[in-house]
Amino acid sequence: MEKKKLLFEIGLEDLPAKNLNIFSEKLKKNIEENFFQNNIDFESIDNFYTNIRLIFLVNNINEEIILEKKLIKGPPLDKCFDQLGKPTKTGLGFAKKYGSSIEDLSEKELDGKKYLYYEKPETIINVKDKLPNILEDSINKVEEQKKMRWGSSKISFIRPIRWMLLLLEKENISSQILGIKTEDYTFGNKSLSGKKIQIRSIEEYFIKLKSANIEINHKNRQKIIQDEIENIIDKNGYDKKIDLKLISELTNMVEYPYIYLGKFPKKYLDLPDEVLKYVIQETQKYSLVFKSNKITNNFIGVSNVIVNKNIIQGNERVINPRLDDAQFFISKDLSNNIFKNKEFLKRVIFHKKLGSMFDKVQRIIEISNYINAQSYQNKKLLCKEIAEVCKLDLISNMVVEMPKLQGYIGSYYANKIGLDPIVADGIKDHYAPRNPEDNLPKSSDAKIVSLADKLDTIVGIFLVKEKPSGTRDPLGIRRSVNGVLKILLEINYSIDLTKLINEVHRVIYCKLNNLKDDKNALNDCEMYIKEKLFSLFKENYNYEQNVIRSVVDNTKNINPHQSQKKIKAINTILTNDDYQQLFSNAKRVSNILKKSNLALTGNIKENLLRESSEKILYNTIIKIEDDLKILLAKSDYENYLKELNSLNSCIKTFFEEVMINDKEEGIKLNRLSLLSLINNHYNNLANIAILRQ
Amino acid sequence: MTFQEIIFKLKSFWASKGCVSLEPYDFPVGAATFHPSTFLRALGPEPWKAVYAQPCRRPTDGRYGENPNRLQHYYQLQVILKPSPDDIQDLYIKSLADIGVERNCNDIKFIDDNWESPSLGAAGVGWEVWLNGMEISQFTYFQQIGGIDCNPVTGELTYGLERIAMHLQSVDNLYDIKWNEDITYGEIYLQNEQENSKYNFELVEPKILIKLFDDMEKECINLLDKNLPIPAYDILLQNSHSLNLLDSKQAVSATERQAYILRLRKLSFLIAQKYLESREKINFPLMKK
Repeated sequence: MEKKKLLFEIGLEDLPAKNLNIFSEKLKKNIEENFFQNNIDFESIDNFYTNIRLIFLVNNINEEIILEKKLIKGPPLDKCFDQLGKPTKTGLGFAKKYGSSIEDLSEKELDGKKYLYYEKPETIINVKDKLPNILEDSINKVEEQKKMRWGSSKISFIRPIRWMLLLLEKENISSQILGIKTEDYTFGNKSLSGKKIQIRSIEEYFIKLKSANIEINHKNRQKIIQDEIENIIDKNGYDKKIDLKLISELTNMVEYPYIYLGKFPKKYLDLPDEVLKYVIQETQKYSLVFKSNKITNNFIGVSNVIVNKNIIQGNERVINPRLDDAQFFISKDLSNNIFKNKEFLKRVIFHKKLGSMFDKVQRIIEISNYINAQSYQNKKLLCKEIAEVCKLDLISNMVVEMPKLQGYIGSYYANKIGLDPIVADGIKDHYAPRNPEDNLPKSSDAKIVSLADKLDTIVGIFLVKEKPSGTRDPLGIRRSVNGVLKILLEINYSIDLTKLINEVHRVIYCKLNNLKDDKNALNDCEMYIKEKLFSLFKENYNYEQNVIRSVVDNTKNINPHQSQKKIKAINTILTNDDYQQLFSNAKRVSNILKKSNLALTGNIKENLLRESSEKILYNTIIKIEDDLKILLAKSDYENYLKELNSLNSCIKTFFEEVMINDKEEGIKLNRLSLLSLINNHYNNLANIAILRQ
Repeated sequence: MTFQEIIFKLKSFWASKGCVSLEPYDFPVGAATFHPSTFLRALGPEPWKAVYAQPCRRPTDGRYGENPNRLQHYYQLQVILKPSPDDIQDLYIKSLADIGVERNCNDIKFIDDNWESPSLGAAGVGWEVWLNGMEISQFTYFQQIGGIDCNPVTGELTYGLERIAMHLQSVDNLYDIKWNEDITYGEIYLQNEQENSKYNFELVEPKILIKLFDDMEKECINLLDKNLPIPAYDILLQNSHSLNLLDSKQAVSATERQAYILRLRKLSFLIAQKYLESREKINFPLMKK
């Protein structure tokens, strides 16, 4: 059978540029999965997109879908025929369902009972008959939070669909998908004439779109942009610095990119870099240009149409008033000195139930103190100094105007008026990490303030019962928790996070008397953090799932740094042959204890130890117990495991020579207690029993 | 092209596409969306097409006439198409060509920007339209109004008239926009900006407005009890403006402001329901058109 190409183009109103690649991939995956499920034979699917097109090209698709011969089991035979052998409703219904007559059905025995069977012959369906349904289903399956409706249609999608093109090589499959007719034409570049273009073959589609000034392949489009920017950079001796995230967003905004170099007045270069980045790059989507690592007064833009003087001037004109505003606000802020009056923060609400920013700062100071005592005991850190000023830029004109710049503006002003550099940097750093790629705060001082600030928010939000859900997380709790965990993993102190949360809870509760004390909320909060720790270990560190579980689920209190050390120790021995006996012993011990299901006191009576092997085992344990304690206290988990491993031979002999279920209940209990003692030593490190199944 | 010509041209363009050419609403509004021709007409199954220019008030955006880009009183040209036609984007592009903005020599981009109005209980999906980097319009498909799902969906096109005029006339200061050949925007509105900025920022008397807000809220509920959603909606507009004034005077904290918004939202939900019921009672008369 000849294999063909299939082309499916969805034409839409402009798609959101951010994450368009992810969206296109998702849709492609849906189509692939649906093809597999429907026995469609194909080689691969290529996906392309522009700002108004989602394109899928299926390579080597077999026009015939072959459904193999299949036996379909029906109801029991005695339900299909009555005592006289006449077919019943049930029997006839089953036959009808498969378009067969009851005489043509066969019977077969299964587990001593006879059933009616329908033998479905091999059937061949033309892929054209199935495609519209499959594609419709693939589109419907896209789970997108921001689906929308338009006009009078009942369908919803990420943006309004305006046309569909469906071709099997040279043939238009004329049908309906989501109520939209699948045509044999597309539309040209909307920035030019946007005229209807008749398409007679897939080959023609690519040729005609290219000559209509459309580059459907996003990778090519991105390369054009990148190459041209590099060109400009080379020609002018700028730094080779390109923001790929921005480039990919720009790639998704056009059908064909035209690149231009614009400029703004030099006087604005005095503005803080973060302001220039925010205005020029984030809000206006121009790529900044650097020379010797400094921002220059040039920018690079991407246009939908061939660039003329008007377009460049227009774009240049947009930046000026915004930078002008910024300059005006900064000089106003500097003449006011925002650090003068800390009471101003009383006017800024943090959360309606959690008080003002002033209240929050007081709590940050107290929590920072606690963390400082838990970690850098001997060092006097500038936490209080940072905490006192870290939120003050919220009342500045600049931050009111551009809220995303909180922290950066404070640092800039603090440097200008000559605050201690650690304090000045701490203001912007205490927000870090601001996103998954962001660095952690640099100084230990800022790390602690960052922890305190984030934990105050996290615990506070759980206390007021606004814990985040998959779709609702207005205060960015998930990001904050990840920030806290990353910082705790980096600080070289094992801080007990459970105790810390309790302390934060105490501080919040103490300072806000209108809040109800709620232990359940605190539990929820702890569970949430534990879950996030688990996924952080799994996704950022690629630790094995059961290793993480053996450690994280095994400790009563959350201690990220300590858990990581344990995981690392386990990872060094996980595939080491010398330790496999330890894993199986641990499993056996734990299984026996589980089965006995007794509440064991752990008290072992030496006089009840009868056999020599159990006496030896007991004495060996007693001998190493002190060592174990010391190793645990030193967090020397590798040697702890080594010590545990040294028990293997005694345990082996014990299992060989001793019957645990002795007739005498006391002896039996004593032996179980011995196992439970071993188990406790295992569990002090991790649930070793689950490491090897 | 003068400011008034832009209005004439856009209005006649959309009138030729079947829109009812309306005049601005006579209550203060923060955006053209608050005009009952948008908020109320977007509810329910009846078709509706309208175009109107609407002066809008945003007290906090006042700058005493000293900022070349900001005003507390400015103009929007609003187009409402219900249900949104399939060629709505093409029509919009054509309307720009009518006032001299050709797509093939200007960089026009549709940047996704979803819209939400907490006090109207309204949300939509759409774009900011950029002309050579400058936002000149908002294009929104209403998904919900007054907490009620829109069906059919209304398409809303809002043109920022001052910005378009600045582009067409190549001026950097909006007060230099030519309203007609003889008179500038500044000559008409500069004093208005100066005086209203002074009022909004300095002289608003919170006590009066807070009491007004409370009293009017009662009035509104009373009207709703009597099944009169249209005058009730006018009161909502008044209260919304009062809140904006309290805001510009910085007379309410963020928490209080949130509480006021929730009160407005509650009213807008009730108004939307009552209006829909009242139209249903008379069998949605525009359905026959």
